[in-house]
Amino acid sequence: VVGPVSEYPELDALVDDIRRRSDAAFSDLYRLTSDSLASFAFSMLRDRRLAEDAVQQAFLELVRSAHTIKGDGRSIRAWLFRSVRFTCLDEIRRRSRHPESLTATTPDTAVLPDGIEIPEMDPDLEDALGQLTDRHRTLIALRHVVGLSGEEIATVMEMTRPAAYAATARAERRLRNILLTVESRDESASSTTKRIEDHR
Amino acid sequence: MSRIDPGTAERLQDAFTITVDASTSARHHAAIADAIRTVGVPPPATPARWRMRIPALVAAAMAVAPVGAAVAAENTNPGDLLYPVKRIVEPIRSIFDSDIAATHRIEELARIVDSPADIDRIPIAVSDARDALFDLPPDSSLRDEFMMITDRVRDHFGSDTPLHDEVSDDVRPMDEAPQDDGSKDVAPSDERPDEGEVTDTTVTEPGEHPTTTQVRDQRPAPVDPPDQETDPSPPDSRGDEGGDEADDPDQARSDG
Repeated sequence: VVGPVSEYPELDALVDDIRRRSDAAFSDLYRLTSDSLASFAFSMLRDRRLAEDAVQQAFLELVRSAHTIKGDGRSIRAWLFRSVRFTCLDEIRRRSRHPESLTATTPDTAVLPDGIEIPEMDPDLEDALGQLTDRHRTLIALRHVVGLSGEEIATVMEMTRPAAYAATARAERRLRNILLTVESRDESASSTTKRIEDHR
Repeated sequence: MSRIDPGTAERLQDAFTITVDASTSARHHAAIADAIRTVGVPPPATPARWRMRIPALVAAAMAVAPVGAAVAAENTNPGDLLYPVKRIVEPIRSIFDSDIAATHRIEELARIVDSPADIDRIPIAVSDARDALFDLPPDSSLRDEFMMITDRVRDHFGSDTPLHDEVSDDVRPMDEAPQDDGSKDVAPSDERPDEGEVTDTTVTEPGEHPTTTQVRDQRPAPVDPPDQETDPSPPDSRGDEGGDEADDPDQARSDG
């Protein structure tokens, strides 16, 4: 289990240079955060290309807003996750308005360079996540895929820390109950199939 | 405390954890570098420097404000907005200048006398100045100043002004003060009213404006000569006190 990370000394050292839009500082920031941001975006969009584009979009926005960024490395990291979240939400809304574009951007049809793997999704997990709301899916991803702390989740989701804890707990309970239902349904279906085969 | 078992959390990570490949990373770096060149390097963060200076500015303002208020209050008169500041600062300044309170009172009196609109304030200003002069040495020049001002008032308003009674011997310079020859407390009958005489004077409670009314003179009664030739009080007036004593039960018991 990825626990909450509370300190980012490497990011803290970059903050001043980020505000000055130092090229090297942005490179270091990208190296330190791009994979987590991409994973988060991928959990929301289920599309690797769009997830990577969301990461790039977040960094470009950070370049424009660098001089206004306040706080330490944790704040910049939370800022990037919030930016990625907004980009992903925009994409999800766009998909809902234009469902025909969904086919063109699904991982199965996306053209990927050689050697790049798309993680295989557990069908039960995919089914359970599909039954969650976008908000609950985002909370689950931030907590269990990226490993943000409750305070960071609160910043990214723009809510108070107690509200973030409560919402994350609700999302976790919901996912657990759905998984239990899905897995029990699968067991029931497999046992029924087995009985039918035995009967034959 | 997570409500998801470790196995599910691991499945989530396996399902969604991706790594940005090298070519994509290079493409992103190039786009970021272009954006930095386009936007440009921001100017030095002067707002942050100003934020650092704010506490120093506040501290400086807090240090300067009382001094400024004290300076501004220097020439105020009773009733002015900053006059309390002047009175608060006086005990501190008196550490270095023991005459500061008396000097202020004399200055205030002079300004009030010069201002026709402040005639009503003259009696209390005289009284305050007299109180301030009380602890000064007898040869203090401030006493001369006080006498000059009160003489001006007397000349201007006439000798029948209530101010006439405000000038007492205790503010006179040493060379003008009456000698302690046993008759010090005996005032001439035409200058001091007898005890109990009702006269027009000004009574002022602390913090109030002076009001002219008829009150009984509260000054100590002059010590009469032993022959009591000029004592206007009838014998039975002292008998009142004797009567009071007779009304005392303890005295009555001792008499009995």
